[in-house]
Amino acid sequence: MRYLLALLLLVPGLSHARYNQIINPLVTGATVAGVVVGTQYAFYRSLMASELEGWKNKDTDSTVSLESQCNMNAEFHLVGDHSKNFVLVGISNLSDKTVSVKPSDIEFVFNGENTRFPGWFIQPSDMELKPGWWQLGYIPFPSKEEFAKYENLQVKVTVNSGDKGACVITGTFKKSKKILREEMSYTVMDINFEGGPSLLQTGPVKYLGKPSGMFALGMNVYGHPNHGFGFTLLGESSFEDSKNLKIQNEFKKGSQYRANTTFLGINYAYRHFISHRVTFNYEPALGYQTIFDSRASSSSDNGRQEKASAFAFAHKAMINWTFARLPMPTYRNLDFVLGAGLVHIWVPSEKINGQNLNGDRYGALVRFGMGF
Amino acid sequence: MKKLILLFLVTSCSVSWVPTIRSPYSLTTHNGFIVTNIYTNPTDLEHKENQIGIKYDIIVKNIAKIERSLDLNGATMAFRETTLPMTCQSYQKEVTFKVQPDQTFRIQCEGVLDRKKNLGDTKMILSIPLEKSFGTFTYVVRSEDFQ
Repeated sequence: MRYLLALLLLVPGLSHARYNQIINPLVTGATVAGVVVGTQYAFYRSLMASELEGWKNKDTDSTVSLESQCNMNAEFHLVGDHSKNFVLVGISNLSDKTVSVKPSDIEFVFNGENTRFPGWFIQPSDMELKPGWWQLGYIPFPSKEEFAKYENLQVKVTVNSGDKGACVITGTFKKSKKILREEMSYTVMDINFEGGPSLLQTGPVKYLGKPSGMFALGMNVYGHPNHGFGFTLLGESSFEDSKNLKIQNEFKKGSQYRANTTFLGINYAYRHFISHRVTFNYEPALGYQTIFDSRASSSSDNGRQEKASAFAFAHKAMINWTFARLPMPTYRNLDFVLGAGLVHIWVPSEKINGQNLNGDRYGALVRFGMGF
Repeated sequence: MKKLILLFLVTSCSVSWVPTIRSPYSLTTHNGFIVTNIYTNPTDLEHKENQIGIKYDIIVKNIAKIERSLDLNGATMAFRETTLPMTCQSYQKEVTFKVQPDQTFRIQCEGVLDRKKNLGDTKMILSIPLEKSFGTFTYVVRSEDFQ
């Protein structure tokens, strides 16, 4: 979200910065005027709240690597969000010469031996630093998942100063502890479509028989990798034994009552990562269930009497597999998910025309979901 | 419906917010120390009943090749004719301590202003002792902060 915000904030600066500088947001303290500098600068500082815990130094409670090299001061920080990790770089030119930095020449060296290049979405432009100027920018790592393999990291920024040639500023980091969420991409919002057979009914609701199927629609928003909330819409169609209901005699034209249910509730969403692509999800929801007649138009009162709503509890346990991950602009991913699991609906009290219909219903669901 | 529109308008107005950059970004060298202020919250002030709390957070690296001794007593914030004290300590809660060559450490400072005395828009100079010198930083408070 912060990176999207940065993109929005940078839009007013279009006249000051080329488009590719927006994708590679580098803030020049002296060139970009007024509120644009202010808001971008506040944005960069706000990134400090997203520092990677697993790479923090206990002496400073930060990931900072402060360097004085090539007649420059430089600071490096590791930050990340749910889909990418970045290195935040600040460079201050202490020399009396104008220097330039080519972001395309930046390298990452992991574990002292593996070299990786940044995962730019669009080719960034070169930047210039006049004497006394500073620049701030963030550079995307090619893969967040690769952080699981890394114990130490060097960031090498090449500075060109014309006649003096090139000089490399190196920032160094060391992992202090392993934190799973910093080594994996995950979604912050999911939309899920589910369907499957009804398996079992217990209690008086058995009187209605089995529905022909169950379907569900849900959306979850995650403020934490493991915890979120959302809504659940769950339905069951055409209970096979609805004709047993006492209300049948209220129908005209010989039509039979055919019960259907909808449940709409607010749910908590728990997500446990079994691996980078496989999760166990548990989604308990509280809401209201409505039983209604799918052929209401043929009843004497247009189905009003045969409709009843009651408090209900529903919960789903699913195993999800992210089978496809589509990279999106601004360093986001669109994930596609397949899943399977069980659903249980509990209705403590529900009646239609004196017929008690409380009880438990169970079903199996197959899920297709999308998230980003 | 009218109430909803009114509620929307009131809510829209009440959440409008313009960030104030209180202290410009600084990555400089003071007396053989590299100092960055990037961890200082750029916008937030702490509003107490009769006081405004100012917090300043810097990360420092000793780039001299010798051990250095720091005494953080004597930090101040100055504006116009007034100089007020600030209290500073390391992240380990030490006020006096030694730092080794290439050691990186964190200093966190706090100062207060009297909220009843509206200074108007004021640019203060915060001075934090770094051995024989001071790291200096500008910090802006605005007239609205005293309301």
